[in-house]
Amino acid sequence: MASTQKTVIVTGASQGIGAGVVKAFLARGYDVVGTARNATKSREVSASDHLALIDGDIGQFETAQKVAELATAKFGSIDAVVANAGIFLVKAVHGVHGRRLSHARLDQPRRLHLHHAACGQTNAGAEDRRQHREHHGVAGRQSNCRRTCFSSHDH
Amino acid sequence: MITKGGLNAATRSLAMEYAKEHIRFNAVAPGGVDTPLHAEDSNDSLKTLTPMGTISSVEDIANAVVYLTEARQITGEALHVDGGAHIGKW
Repeated sequence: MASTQKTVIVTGASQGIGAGVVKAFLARGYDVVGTARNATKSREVSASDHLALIDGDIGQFETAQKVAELATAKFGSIDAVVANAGIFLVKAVHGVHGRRLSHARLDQPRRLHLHHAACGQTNAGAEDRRQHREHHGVAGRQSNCRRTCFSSHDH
Repeated sequence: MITKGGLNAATRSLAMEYAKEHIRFNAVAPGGVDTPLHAEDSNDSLKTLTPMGTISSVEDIANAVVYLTEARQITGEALHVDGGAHIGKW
């Protein structure tokens, strides 16, 4: 069902800042697609007419693809992406110092397909998307985000 | 600290790359936020980490995200929402 409202994708939407961002956008009248490994079991947000929740690891390409497809199918566009999902290298502020990061941990954030989610599936025209794909390759480029960064498409 | 600097660089780089297409990239840089991540830390000790002596709520961060999403002229920006913690030592 297409709508004229703007649609936002929020990753890491099940709790904390992600859930807060989902609520803030809903309060402002946006349609929201929230994703997290256990998004549908979240105690802080629940699905509604304006909020679609989808489970999955956003580090996996297939998940990013599903999220983008759901957003365009249900709400008709993707206007902004809030790449909030991150890898918590630390459990809390205390105990951070002196902890060494393993290779596996350092590698994890790079699996977030922020770039592809943000640029490959915007509501730009088909021609724009084709140019993006040619420019970046099919898989898109990867970026990472432990904090919140996002893009928005103005028309 | 490396990841924070790297994210700022990535945000600016992506912002520059897609500016002509009007796709904007911004970052929100939170300090200590009262979330379940800090359930085991006392808020009193977290408050000592900022010059203002306050920690952010989830709403403080969400409001910054919404603001940047709607700010059509802002791109490549890292918006600190940390009670002044990024300013330096105090």
